[in-house]
Amino acid sequence: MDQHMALNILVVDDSLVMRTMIIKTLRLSGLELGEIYQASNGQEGLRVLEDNWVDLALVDINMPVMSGEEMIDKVRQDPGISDLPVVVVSTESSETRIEMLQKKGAEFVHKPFTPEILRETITGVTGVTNEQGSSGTDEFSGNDF
Amino acid sequence: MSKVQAELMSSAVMTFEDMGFVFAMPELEEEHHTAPFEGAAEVGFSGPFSGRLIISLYGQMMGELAANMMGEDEPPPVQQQHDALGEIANVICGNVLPKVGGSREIFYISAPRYIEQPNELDQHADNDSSVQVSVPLDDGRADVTLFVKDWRFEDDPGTGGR
Repeated sequence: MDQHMALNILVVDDSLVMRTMIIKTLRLSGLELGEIYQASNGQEGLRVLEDNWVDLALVDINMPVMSGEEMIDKVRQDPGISDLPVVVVSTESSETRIEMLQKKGAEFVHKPFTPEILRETITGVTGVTNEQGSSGTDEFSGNDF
Repeated sequence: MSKVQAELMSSAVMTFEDMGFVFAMPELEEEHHTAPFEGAAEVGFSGPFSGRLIISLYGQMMGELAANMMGEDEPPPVQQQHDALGEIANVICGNVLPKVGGSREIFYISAPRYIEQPNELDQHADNDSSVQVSVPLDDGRADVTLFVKDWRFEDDPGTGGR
């Protein structure tokens, strides 16, 4: 992946509040962002992936209709998107389950999370290292996430 | 304060501060005890043992909490405020269960449910075992209660405050 590119990111979470939090945190992370897509379950997420170019998916695990784990399995089985970088953003704390997700090629960010943790994880999983210029970067402040 | 209470308090304070930018006070004061019920949310869980975690807010915090979580200046619609409290319950539960039940155990946490009326909280009082902490916050307090079925906390907890 080009190290200097704006990332198109898919955020999959059944909670609108949590999707908003994640997107807010992405904007504070300093990473250059392209399109941000949203889906409320794994099935919707797969439809977004069919219709759009996405560089990275941030996926919750426990969702109705289709869980994040099932979505990751289907992504890995689809030759067109099998190498999509996936970061699981979840309250999951079981080492056993985290290891199972990592075996599926997903990285893991635990809720609650900070912009720094999100940036570090995304940089690691995508190889993209560029950050926004100072004129376009939101600054962290006391009441920002 | 028992070990389980300490873990519950630690997870609750971290979640309120990191997600909601609502900060814990050093001690419960009189105004914390007298603050009126504002709302509650619960999540159920199953695994090596099952149960539920309920968070009850007392005071006027839900609007600010949701706005902070979503990065907005004004409180979002009421439904989103309820969802925000549910997410707080979800995150506290996800953090505390491995500390209580073991880091390698797998728990499944259900979707959060908002509780409008305080009398609904009493319906859980006959569960097998429970532990509660009261978190003093800027504009009120949060009571966080972990109920478990068919399982006993090792150090027989009671009710604790910060």
